[in-house]
Amino acid sequence: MKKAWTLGALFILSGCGDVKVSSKVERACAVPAGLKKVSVAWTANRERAVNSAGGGYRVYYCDYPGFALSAASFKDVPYVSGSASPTSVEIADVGSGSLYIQVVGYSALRAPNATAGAQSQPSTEVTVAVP
Amino acid sequence: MRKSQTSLLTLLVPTLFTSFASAQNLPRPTRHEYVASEVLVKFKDRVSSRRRHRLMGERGHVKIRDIGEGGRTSRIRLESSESVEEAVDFYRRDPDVEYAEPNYVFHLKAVPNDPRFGSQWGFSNSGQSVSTADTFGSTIDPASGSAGSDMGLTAAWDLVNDCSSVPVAVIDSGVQYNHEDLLANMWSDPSFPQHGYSTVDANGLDPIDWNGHGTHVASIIGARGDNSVGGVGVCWKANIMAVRSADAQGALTASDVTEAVDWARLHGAKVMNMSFATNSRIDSLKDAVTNAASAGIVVIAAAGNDGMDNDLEASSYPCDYDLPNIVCVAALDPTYKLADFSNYGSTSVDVGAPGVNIVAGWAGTLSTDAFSSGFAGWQLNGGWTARNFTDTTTGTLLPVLTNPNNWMPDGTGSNYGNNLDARAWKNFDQACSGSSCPVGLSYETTVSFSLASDDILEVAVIWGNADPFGVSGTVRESYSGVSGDSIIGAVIEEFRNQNFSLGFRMKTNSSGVDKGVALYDFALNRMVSATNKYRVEQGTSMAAPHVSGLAALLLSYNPGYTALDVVDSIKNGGVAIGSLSGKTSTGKAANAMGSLAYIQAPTGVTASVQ
Repeated sequence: MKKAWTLGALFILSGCGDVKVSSKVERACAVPAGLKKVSVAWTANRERAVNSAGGGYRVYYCDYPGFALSAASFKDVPYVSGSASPTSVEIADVGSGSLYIQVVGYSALRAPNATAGAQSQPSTEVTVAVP
Repeated sequence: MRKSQTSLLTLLVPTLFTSFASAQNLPRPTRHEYVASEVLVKFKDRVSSRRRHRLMGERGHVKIRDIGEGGRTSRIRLESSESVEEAVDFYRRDPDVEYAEPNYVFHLKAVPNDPRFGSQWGFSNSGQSVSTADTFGSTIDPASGSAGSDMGLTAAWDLVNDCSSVPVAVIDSGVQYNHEDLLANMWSDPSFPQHGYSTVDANGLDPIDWNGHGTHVASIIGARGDNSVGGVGVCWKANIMAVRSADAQGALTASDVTEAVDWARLHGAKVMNMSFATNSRIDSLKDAVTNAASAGIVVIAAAGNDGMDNDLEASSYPCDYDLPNIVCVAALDPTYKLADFSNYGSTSVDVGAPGVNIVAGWAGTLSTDAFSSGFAGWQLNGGWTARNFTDTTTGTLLPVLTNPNNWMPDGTGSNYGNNLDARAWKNFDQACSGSSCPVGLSYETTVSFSLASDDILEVAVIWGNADPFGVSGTVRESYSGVSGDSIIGAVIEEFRNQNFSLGFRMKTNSSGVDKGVALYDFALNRMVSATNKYRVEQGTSMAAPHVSGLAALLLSYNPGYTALDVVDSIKNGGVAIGSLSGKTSTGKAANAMGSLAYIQAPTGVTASVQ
């Protein structure tokens, strides 16, 4: 490993031991298990590619705010049939505490030089208190 | 007072200039999104072969064969009654499945068969130069491009190339709507059989193009693609609404443009292309563009051709109106450098697009009768004299008409006399006449004025071979007591071709004298309408329609898109290029595939505990 990279990584260590990149915390999410169900809904995207085969949404969730997508579990909500992809999903087996949620749209289309299908920026994060 | 000859807005073609590989006509397969009755399923590492087969068996599926590294991906055949979507959904829900997807069909990149496509580097750049068959004698610079510096259209055309559901208003010098590569792609309405409208003439609603600029712009947006004729547009099928608001000289007035924007809005335009600019913040035009914004219309505007910073050095409207539906476009050359002539601005200009060495349709054949070809036919009296000066800048001979006969550039010549009626005129006989030979006629000349108060220079026209200052002639323009150098000119006639004479008269009164006038760089321009002409052009005027075409593609592919969605997608879906860094708000070149793939962040997210 190059020394310069090591120094860079040290520089961005935050006080509590979590690595922050672009202000997103990368500590793995630890959503407590339980018997509750959280239902998440959102407004349909207007891109055809999101609403057709290969497209859809991913609903990421975490036990702390400002989480990085790479740290979180997600529910995949793919296009199935008809004119649009589903715009709701249920996250089951959640225990009590605050649950933080971000939704991302995706498609099979590839931007120039991309090696995978397109993905949107995440939605504004919402939170729900699970009793 | 001198008659005002300023045009408030100008079409954006700089006075610059514009070769290659012929297009490979690849066969294109019939379009299917994916193979019917097949899916591809990748199972997780730990999943046994027995478990896999049991899962497939549940739905009556049959494995065709395993593919991929380690054979963990299975190509599976479905029962005929089951849809691919249902099967993919079934596998995706299973925890032993890493992913499941349709067996997508890939297409060869869509390449149209239009013969000039190979020269249209902005759509697909292999590093080619513009074919000599497509330069029409123009000098082109740079001579060749850099591969990949293009709008990524061949990939995008696999997804969408038909914009016929999206009317695009070309607010310009009109459109040669009978052009061989445009007629099939023109907007049509029973009330407007000439495919649009003209705000230039009170009684002429025909938007036919007597300049060429508007036809070039329209062709970039929507020349018919894959029809074995001419070139191709960003849209292969299009819906071009011709809205003429510039005359044969390419001059526009604020009132004509404002009326054109309003007309296009009221007649269903979804995109408006504005390849013109003015440095005046015209409130009436802003109102019209604001109303277009409210109506959900995307406006694509050219940044301007002054090579200046619109943020700091120059103003350029409509680009500079702070409205959310406007995308302001700078011009790029075939190496994706910012064109020398292109305006820019890190806040006021948004994206770059191809604007140098652009091959597209033209409205007809332009011929000129100029002093540079001699003074034959000029009737000179009252002191008018044909002379040759040496142009100190170029060292070449400059033919000049002067009065008095010893006029000198440095003012050392004699004064003219009082009570003069000095005439210089020429008969311009046309090769054909009447409606069978439609033509646009205009003249332009530079005048070095030195006239005492109330002494005048007039320009007059008469139909036929006669002195235009005779009884039946009409004085078209009059300049009184003027000093300094000015370019003057006007449209003489549009639609009609007829034998006519044009002349200049210096008329002086009984008191006061000065050094007189000199006319140089005179040209009588004759645009004969034709439907099979093409030309290479440069300008932010050419860059804007590349983006207007993209806007139409985006609205066609995403019918639910709003104007703001289109603007968002154009700006965010571009490709960052070094030459635009700090020069535009996005630092990006517009890119069709990038914009089609762009996805907005989901909104309206709510969560509740069940």
